[in-house]
Amino acid sequence: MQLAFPAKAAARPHLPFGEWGLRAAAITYLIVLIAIPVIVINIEGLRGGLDLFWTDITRPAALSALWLSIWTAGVMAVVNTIMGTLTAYVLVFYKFPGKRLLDSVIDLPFAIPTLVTGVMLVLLYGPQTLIGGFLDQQLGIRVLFAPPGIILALLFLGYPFVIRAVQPVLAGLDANQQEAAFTLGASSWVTFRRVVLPAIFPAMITGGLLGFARALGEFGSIVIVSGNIPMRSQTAAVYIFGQVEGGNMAAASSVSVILLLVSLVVTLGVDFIYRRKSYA
Amino acid sequence: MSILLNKVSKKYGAQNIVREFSLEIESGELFVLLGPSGSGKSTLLRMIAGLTPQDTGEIYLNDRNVTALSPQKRGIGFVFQNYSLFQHMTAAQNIAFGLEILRVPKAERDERVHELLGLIGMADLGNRMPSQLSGGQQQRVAVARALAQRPEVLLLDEPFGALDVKIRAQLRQNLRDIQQRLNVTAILVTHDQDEAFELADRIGVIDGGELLEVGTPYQLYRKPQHRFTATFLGSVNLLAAERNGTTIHLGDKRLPAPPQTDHLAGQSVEMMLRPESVEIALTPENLEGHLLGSGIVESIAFAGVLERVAIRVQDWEQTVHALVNPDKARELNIRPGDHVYVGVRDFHLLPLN
Repeated sequence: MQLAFPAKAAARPHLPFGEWGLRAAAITYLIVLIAIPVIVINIEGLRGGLDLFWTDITRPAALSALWLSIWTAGVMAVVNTIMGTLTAYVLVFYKFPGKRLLDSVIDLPFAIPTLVTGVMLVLLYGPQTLIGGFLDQQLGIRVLFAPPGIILALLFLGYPFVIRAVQPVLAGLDANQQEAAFTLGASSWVTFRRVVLPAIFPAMITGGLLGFARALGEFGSIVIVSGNIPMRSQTAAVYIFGQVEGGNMAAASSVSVILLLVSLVVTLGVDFIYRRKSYA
Repeated sequence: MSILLNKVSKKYGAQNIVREFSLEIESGELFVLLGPSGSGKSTLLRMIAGLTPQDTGEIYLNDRNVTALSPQKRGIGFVFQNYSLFQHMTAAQNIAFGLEILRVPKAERDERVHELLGLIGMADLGNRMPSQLSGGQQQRVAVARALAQRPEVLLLDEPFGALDVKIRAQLRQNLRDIQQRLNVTAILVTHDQDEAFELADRIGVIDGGELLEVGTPYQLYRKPQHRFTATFLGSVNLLAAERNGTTIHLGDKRLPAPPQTDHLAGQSVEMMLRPESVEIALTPENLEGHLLGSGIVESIAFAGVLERVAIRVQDWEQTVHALVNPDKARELNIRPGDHVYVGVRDFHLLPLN
């Protein structure tokens, strides 16, 4: 994943198709692939009128599913923003054996089918396994078929986002800035907080938000680990799937519209952060 | 004594970067550490700041042994070549950073920042972000930031290296003014001899991690002790000779020995002639100084204020360079291939090593 937003427009290479042809192709692609489905689902969601839409999304099972999706994704985003920044820091500034291997393994969650992620977690934390059994019987913590399992799945698949956003920014930091802070009497901690952190903060938030948006609609791994218990461990994506299966397209569309809306806000947030970061 | 270095050494692996470096710098002095790249001068500066730990030796700042202290506790200001301003802070916030660390009250802080912005001639630009400032302005802010805490010692690592020639000259003057006005002891590291001449109270010449010699710009330029100093500071003609008693034997020519070279009596030496001390004439009688020999003009090149003439001297088969006033050159009306006499107005001796 690359999060490069060049400050200046690059010199435009001359292509044979003509500028308008190129623009038309790019815009058509966007419309067919993204805009039309988004519009259709909004129309579908609101077809029965706002009243029906409201009824669909305020159904206790729907509300609970939406809320579960949002808070688990939120917890994941916070944890991964902190741990991802830490990992990026270690990867950039420390040498250790296996560093290269770790660096390439980080992208694995992007590549592994999410269903496989779910299966892995069941094998690891299932009630019959060593870890799962211990947590359940000794500590009374249920991982699978409960929110902890969902969060674990989301942590796994949201892992690369913050790291890959923060890593290049850290690598590009001017070490002399930190040394300048030292000579001005700033401790390592103050230097990190006042010099390093402000420089990497936009990248941290961007990575966190992208991870959050990705986690919000996660289906594959969650359908396996969550157990799909309405009001307890059923996320919005799984709820939507259930509604589609039951032939209730209107309810599925309505909840989808909400998920879409949250994602839209998050995406705009990422964009805003990058636009505001004028000093980069 | 404001800065005292006692046998400071640093190795990277088997390579000596700085070797038993000892130096004393007076209070209020602007000392320039001059050397080629890779001579260890920046490493030495970083060791004084505490940014790079030394292997052996002691460092004293104002009679305080700071050898084991972290950079935070040394009371120094450091200016980096690439400015290294905090990019997310305005110029004023950059300057205020060190004062906030010291928990200086806001009113006092603002006053000090205002004063420093005035000192660097940027009173109206405090609210600019670094990215909105030119390189020269950024470097001035970096100097102000380093001075904010009123450090005992200001260390500057090639501070003007990234700037173009014109701005550089301007900033040198600016820095000299500020340094004198605040009477802060400063060490500036550079490889640029013009910068060293213009700024330094004294220059220390460093090569291969060793301090070769220390002196005023005039001393080092006119009467260096080392061949390296002679060749590194400006261009020079070096001629092999013998010193017998008070006479210099250069081929069949006899010249009186220059002052302050008695320690070289009875030795093989090198005569050091600065090109501007070399003169050219069409007859030996027209030379003001001592006759060295005669030769053929090899080339004449425009060198700004003066013209650079290269003469192949026949007696000892060596090319001598002279810097000649253009009027004088026109008066002589010489061209490559012409036969001329070469003389020297004054010269210096170097031990042959």
